Amino acid sequence: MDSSVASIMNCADQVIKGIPLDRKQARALMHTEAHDTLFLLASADRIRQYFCGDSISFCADINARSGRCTEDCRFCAQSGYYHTGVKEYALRSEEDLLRQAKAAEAYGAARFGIVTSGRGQEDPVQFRHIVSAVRKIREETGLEVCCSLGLLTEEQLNVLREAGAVRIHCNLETSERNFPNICTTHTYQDKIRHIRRIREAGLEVCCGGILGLGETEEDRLDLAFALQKLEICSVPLNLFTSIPGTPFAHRKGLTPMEACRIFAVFRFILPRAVIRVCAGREKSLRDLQAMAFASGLNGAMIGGYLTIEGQPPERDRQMARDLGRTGGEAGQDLS
Amino acid sequence: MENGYAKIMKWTEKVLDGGEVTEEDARQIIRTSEEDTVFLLAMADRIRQKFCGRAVDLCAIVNARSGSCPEDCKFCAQSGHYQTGVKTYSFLSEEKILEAAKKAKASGAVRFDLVTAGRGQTNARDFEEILDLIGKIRKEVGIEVCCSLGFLTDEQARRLKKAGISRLHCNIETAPSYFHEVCTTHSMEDKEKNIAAAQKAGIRVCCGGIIGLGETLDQRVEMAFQLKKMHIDAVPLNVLNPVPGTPFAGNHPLSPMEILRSFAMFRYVLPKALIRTAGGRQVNLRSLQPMALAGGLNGVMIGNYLTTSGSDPRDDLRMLHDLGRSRTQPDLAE
Repeated sequence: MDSSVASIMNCADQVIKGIPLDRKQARALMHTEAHDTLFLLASADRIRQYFCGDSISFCADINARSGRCTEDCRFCAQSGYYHTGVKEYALRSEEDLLRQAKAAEAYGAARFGIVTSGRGQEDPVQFRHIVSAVRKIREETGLEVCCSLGLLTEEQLNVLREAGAVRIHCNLETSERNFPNICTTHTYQDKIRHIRRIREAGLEVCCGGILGLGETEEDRLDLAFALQKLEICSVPLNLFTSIPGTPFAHRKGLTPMEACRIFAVFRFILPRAVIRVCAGREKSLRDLQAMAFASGLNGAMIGGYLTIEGQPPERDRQMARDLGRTGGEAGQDLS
Repeated sequence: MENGYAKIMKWTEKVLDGGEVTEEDARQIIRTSEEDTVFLLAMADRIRQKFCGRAVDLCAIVNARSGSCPEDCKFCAQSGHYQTGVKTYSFLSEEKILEAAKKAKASGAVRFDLVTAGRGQTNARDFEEILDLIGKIRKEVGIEVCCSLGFLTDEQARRLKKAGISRLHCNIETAPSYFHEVCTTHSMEDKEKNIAAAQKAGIRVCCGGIIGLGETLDQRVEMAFQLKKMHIDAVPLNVLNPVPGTPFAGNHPLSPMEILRSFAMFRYVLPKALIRTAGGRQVNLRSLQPMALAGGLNGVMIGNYLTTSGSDPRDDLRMLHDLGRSRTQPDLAE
């Protein structure tokens, strides 16, 4: 077999032995040629099997407060800086959040994320509502509750933990180098400090980013290695979808094979993490969604995204079954 | 390294080096564990890359004469032995067939297959019509023409060749040892004779079958080796889409991963063949369809099948594009 295949195989063997790849090895994988790509994907699948088993973690989220965001993230439909026509609303009622959580549980999600637009939680009344909703969802469903509420204080994090939240979401979005190109109202370091606070509060961190923002392969490697260094256990990867009205509206995003290749390299770098494909998967992966799950992924957001719709969850469950995979964190039956 | 993985590697190298897998190897290949399946597919894809290139061969078919067939193939909606409610009609008009050929061409197919129900061509007028259509379609539509016309006489084969058909299609359907369970009105020997006669007349043959008829994994391997023995270089693989009313209506569906392993096995046994996914791909493979093309296959039947509907060809073209594959071009040389 040719040398390119041999070196991909050696990398996979090395990762399975527990020895992390160095930057040079990861770079070579990122530049895998088209004719070797399927071998790369199959090798990432082997690593996934070895460290993560067969279950696919399905999560769902709710956009609990939408739009009018003070931040200027250039990809985002919800930034108040751009006219995107996104639906804007204040915090949804507790009953509404509970109802959505129950629906998510019914369609196969094992985790439920409460997401709010905005820099953080400045309004104590709204924050109390969210905390109360977290408690209610914990009481009335079997879901794990996650929160994506912007940059939080130590005290807020403690309150959320006590209410029963287990995981806080905060994406790095991209590399430290590329970060100022996508957002200027907060910094990469703000995010890193926040992630540290989450950890110190005894909560798990869900942290990933968006692929296809115009970043280079080196930026992608930076992000993957940053997540490795932060020992992130759950890595959501979104595929850029252009939103009319944002500065990135004209950007094209990735081809399905590019996305699969990047997912695979993330699996090599983050062998034990739940690597989860989120927004943009239907549009950017199209028919290659199943291939992405055979390329190292073991998580997916189902039932739609913050501002865009997703495919029916039944289709996702069927796809997982067809791939011989189980669902949920605990390998629950998908039927 | 895990055992299964190393074995797959060994078989792959053997084939890539121009060697052949044995029937025993193939019986193990089709039994690849669920865990090693994605790896097997990637390796079957390497064999495809080496011997077949990037291009995918798209074909489309028309059911030119439907139903009331005297044969009793137990999977078939068109057999007169079963009440399937299939549409029955005699030979379509020239206009309708030309229209179907144009539609196939516009959808991206490079070859267009005229298929007739029945044991053979006993109606002389229909057969003359077919001969006439072959040249017309090639000339007016610019697409290659294949025919699937049942059992032919030597004379009929010669005339089809002269009329310019690209390939004659005649499926063996299944393994020789299972054929009698699938059909009793003709035999594997009849098929072999028909195919040998076409080959003798200088016609290239397209010959495959259907998996999921109740055959064993070993019988699927047997079928692949039968094709190899017959020097077949174009293999359509269908997956049973059970037809209510037929004896196989209640057959247990195959899992998508088993189908992919079976397809990959065919690639190991027939490294250079045009292996095509055809009927039943949508219902049986569902969202794993692209993995068939990324698992050793290099052909797709597009549009509708004989008695069931298929995908929108535009979706298939997009899938090919997303997989980084190109398309073959029609060979219309005289």
